[in-house]
Amino acid sequence: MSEILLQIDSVSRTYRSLGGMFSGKRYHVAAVQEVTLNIAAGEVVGLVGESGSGKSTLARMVVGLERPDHGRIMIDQHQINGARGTTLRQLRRTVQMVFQNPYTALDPLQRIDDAIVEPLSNFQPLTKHERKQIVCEALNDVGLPQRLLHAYPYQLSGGERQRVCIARALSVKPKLLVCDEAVSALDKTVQAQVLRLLRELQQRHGLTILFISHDLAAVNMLCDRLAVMRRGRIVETGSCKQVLSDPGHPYTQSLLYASRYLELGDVGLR
Amino acid sequence: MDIVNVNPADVKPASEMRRLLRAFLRHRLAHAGLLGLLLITVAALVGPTLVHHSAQTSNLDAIYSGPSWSHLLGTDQLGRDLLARLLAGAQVSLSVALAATIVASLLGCLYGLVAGMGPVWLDRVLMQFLDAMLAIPVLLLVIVSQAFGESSLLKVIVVIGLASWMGTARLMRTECGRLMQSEFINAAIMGGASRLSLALRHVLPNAAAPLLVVVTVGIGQAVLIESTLSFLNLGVPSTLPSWGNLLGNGMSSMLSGAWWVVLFPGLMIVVTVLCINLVGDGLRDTVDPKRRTHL
Repeated sequence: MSEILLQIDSVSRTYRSLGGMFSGKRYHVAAVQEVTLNIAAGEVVGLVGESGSGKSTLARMVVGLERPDHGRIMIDQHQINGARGTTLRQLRRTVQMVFQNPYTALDPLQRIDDAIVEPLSNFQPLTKHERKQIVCEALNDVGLPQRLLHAYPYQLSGGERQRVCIARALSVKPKLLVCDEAVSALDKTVQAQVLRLLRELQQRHGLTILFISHDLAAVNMLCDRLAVMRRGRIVETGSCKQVLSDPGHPYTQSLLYASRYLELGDVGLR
Repeated sequence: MDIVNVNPADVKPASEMRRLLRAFLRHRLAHAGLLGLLLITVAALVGPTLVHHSAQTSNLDAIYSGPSWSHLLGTDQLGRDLLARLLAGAQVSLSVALAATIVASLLGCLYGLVAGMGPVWLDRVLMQFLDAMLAIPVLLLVIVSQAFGESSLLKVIVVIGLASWMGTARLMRTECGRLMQSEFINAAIMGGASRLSLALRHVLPNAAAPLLVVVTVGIGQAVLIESTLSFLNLGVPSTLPSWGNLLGNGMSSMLSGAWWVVLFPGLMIVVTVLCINLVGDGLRDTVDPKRRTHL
């Protein structure tokens, strides 16, 4: 197997309610508990589980938007948790994220070209000509027409916005792309298009993708390997085909059952 | 089947601001307010050149003469033409209010941004301090400031500014809190944006619309504060005509039956603040349609 790009090493994160003077009982939510997961370079790994199972928390820790309480996360031999300031900013070039809701992930006042070029311009000064070239290439890469160059986000459909988000994430040429429910807010046909695009981009750029979703069909379409998460723990890992055809853990079975039920309704149950 | 192919680039990229402007222009009461403000501003700018009398020359033959053709709004206790003084006062009052609001807005924005985007401990300290500031009555602040230096226009501006930045600061702080939660800010952080660039490129522009509302209403408040202070002889130097000074001078005239000396400056203040508030309401409704009040 090729080298390990992302190494999640017994990572935990607990949320605590802020205990005020009058706020009664404090409570703790262990969002992620002792999660260990390694992802090799060039691999596409799906992370599935129901809402509240800690997928998003894990994703936010991987990209350094949140810090784990315990454990460590290594990306390309650099530790991302605990990194600060300039070090963290440099690591942003290695790992990027596509967010769940394309309607809120773009600044409504920022034109498409500015949005796409912003991450790169944070790292290096760009001339006007370079900017234009980069944006054109990026739009091309994600299959968007050049005429959207100066459009505002509200003029775009959900699918187009998500393509812009992907282009923005890829503009710094990251090695790891974390997609947090990246297609969940889109309708089925657009989902398929965006998934196909992700697959294409993955092959073209040799990307490593951590794809977080509750949608087993989407995961099946994109991923090589699968990790199933429940209540902050990973309960099952394996190749996509294996997990989906022969789930070992009862929780995976119930997930699969639920998704079949939704997809085929009564017909599938007979 | 016809395929309608709309090129988004052909649709003029109406920015958020332009859409808001269009919505604002549909607001009727705001129209009235805007028209009123426009009239008052034009009157303040060109009015003094159109009136035959000067705001400062006294005419002892015409003390307390009522509204007539030669003095449209009458004269005061020194026989000075009230219309001329009212128009000159408009310049002073409006520019003081505007300048004070600019001071307050800049201060408030900066304060709110630092509180909203800085470390948590700083946020706590700053917001506690702001609450403490809100508890100090404006008049007390002004009276204390009288102890330092002579009264001047600049001082009035600074004092009013210092007394009214809290609303803007609190709004900015709230907007920061709201925006910092949003995914596009997270996306910008992921893109390696520094705090400063987050603040200038994403937070400030997205907070501009609600800020505009507060700033507009703030101008009206500043007009009121200026009038109050000048009325009490704590504001604009009494040698300069301002609406508050006119009111203050007029108080003694009331006893001699010269009602016009008080009525007209008072009316100007009321109408101006009303117009500003109508415009502010219009802006608020366009920015936040959920809070629209039907009139």
